[in-house]
Amino acid sequence: MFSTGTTYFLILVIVYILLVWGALIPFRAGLLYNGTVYCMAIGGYVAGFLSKNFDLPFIVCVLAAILVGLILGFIPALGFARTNGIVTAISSMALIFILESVIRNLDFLGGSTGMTGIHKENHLLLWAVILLIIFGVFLYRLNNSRIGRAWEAIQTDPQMAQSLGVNTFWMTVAALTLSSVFSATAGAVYAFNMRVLYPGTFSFTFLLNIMTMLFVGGRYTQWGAIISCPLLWSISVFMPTSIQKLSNYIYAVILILILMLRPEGIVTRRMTNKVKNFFTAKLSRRRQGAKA
Amino acid sequence: MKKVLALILALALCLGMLAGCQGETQPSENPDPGTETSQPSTPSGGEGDEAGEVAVDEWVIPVLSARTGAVSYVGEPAIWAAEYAAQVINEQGGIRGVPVRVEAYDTEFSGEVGAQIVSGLVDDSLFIVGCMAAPVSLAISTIVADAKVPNVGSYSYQEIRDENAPYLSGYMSDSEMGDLAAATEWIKENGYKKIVLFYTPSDTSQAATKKLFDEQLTEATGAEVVGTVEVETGTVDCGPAAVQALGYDADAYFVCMRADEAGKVINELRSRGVDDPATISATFAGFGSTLLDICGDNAEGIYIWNKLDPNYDSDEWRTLVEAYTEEFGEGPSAPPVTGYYNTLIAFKQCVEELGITGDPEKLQEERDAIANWFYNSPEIDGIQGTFSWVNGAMMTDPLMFRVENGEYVAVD
Repeated sequence: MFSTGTTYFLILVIVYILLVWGALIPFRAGLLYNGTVYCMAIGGYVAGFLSKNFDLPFIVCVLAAILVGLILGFIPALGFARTNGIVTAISSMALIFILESVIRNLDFLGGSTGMTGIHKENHLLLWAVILLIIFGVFLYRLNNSRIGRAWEAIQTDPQMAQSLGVNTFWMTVAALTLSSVFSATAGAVYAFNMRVLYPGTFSFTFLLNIMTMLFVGGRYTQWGAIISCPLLWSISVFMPTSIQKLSNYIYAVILILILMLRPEGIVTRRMTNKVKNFFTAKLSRRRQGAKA
Repeated sequence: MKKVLALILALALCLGMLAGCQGETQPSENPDPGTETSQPSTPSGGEGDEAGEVAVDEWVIPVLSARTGAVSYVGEPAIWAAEYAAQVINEQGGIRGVPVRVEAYDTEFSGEVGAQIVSGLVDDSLFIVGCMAAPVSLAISTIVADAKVPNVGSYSYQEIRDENAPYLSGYMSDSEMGDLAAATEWIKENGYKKIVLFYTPSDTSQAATKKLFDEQLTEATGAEVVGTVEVETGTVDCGPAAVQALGYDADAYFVCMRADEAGKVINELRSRGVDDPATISATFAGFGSTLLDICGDNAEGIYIWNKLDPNYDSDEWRTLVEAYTEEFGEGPSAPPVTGYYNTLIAFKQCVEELGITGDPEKLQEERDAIANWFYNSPEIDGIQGTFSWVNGAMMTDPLMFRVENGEYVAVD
């Protein structure tokens, strides 16, 4: 249906969107959590290992990745939920380096030379789209649920949230664990797309890309990622070859301009509310017309 | 609530349909080049024999390199070398009378960027040159092998070439084998018994060297690796690494790192009591003016090996050096320069010997023929003598040098 290049592009964009959503959830609860790449690596290596060694189907590998990601995301979350601000940011970043170092020393995961031989999934794009829809709907419902509002309250003022009866500790743990699930899923899709894994991939640079996509797209809504991920990813890869060397500069200029002109990102809460109101009004007009 | 139920129902239906039409997960093809690899036939006997007319106006060759990022200092010269080779070929009348054009791509130092670029090229390309960094080549290897496109890149270890044979070949000789061969000569020459190895664990090739030394150095030389010291890329202070190495009470030090870190380590060793420079040997990744700039007098007398000889004596090489110096202000020392140049020259020979036409209708047949030709090639006249590929590995000998008066001087 699509060319090889387009298929790769779409799958990688979906991976990035899932990761940005993974970074967005803790942000909603007021935490700058940098463990996204850590959980992505866990998901990727679990899925890759199961596919390579046990020949398991894609969806089983994804479910296993989610389960392991959930557990290994939940355990550090118990600690991170007691921290805030810069402490969370820096200590969660350390997870990336720790895991990278661990993987390098585990021969059964390929060590420093990386893991090859992950099986090919013929319908990966379709699976990726389905996962994106499932996670997108889930996140949308979550954002508009009591949990989502509790996270928003924590983000605004944790003390106030606590005085309103929100259990800030467990709400934060829930946010970080869910973030791990999103990231582990992204990691599994990534593993099947690349079919090779290398410890250096899951690095600080990858985290910077995700955070840039989050801040450029809009850090208060899930819709920003759908614009920023394809936009920023295409800069690196679809530039004319003559100016491709300048892609990093262009990337930086976009980031600076967005932060200066639209600090909330491309898609703001106001914008999403407007769109929502527009459709709600249209729908109610249609209903009224039908009744009349 | 109804909407949610409807949505769940729709998703369940969607998943059900998928389960029905889902193709089986395919194992990746891992043909053994020696046994099960399909050996596609060559399209014709040779040029002028049964070779068809060339069906293209120009041979467009995508060339991938890390023009930006951590290894751009060798990435840009590699692109230059490919473009220079194309210019040389065109001046000689092109390939089968048709000019060649290099299309340069920057993979940065990123596997994802490399994979994305290559995935956009594999549908139409006859042959791809590059990329150059191990993480990137690892990422693109499955894409080119799946698409059955011959690719000469930085595939410097046999396992990855075997897994994807015959589509992947290396543009330079295997680094870890070169490290072992060079270290063996150096150790035997000087009679060392206890060696310390410095390496960067995050570098695939250097990690492979460490593994090879652990497994084979003692058998090859009788010397023992008494300690390994890890130095990550970008380390500013290499003093602690030098102190750790000195603690092993070794006879000699093999520095398997890129120029920046290698230079700092050598400085630290020399300033902390390693008086005999012959006890220090470095790998090809450190070769070049950067190391000499960092070390100054501390580099005098050390050993270092490389995959190219900057002082090679031939007209072709001298002309290349002149052009290169005009572009970069100094002579070439990075192996990708000869690697990319030689690959283009080999492509010319391959197309002419096999009578490749570039006809889109024969694309896969010709790709297979080119891949097989490169995987086990005949002898090719390169910029620094003849070479060939055996099972995808470029076969060239490591060249040993010592630093004398701020210059690299070849050691017999």
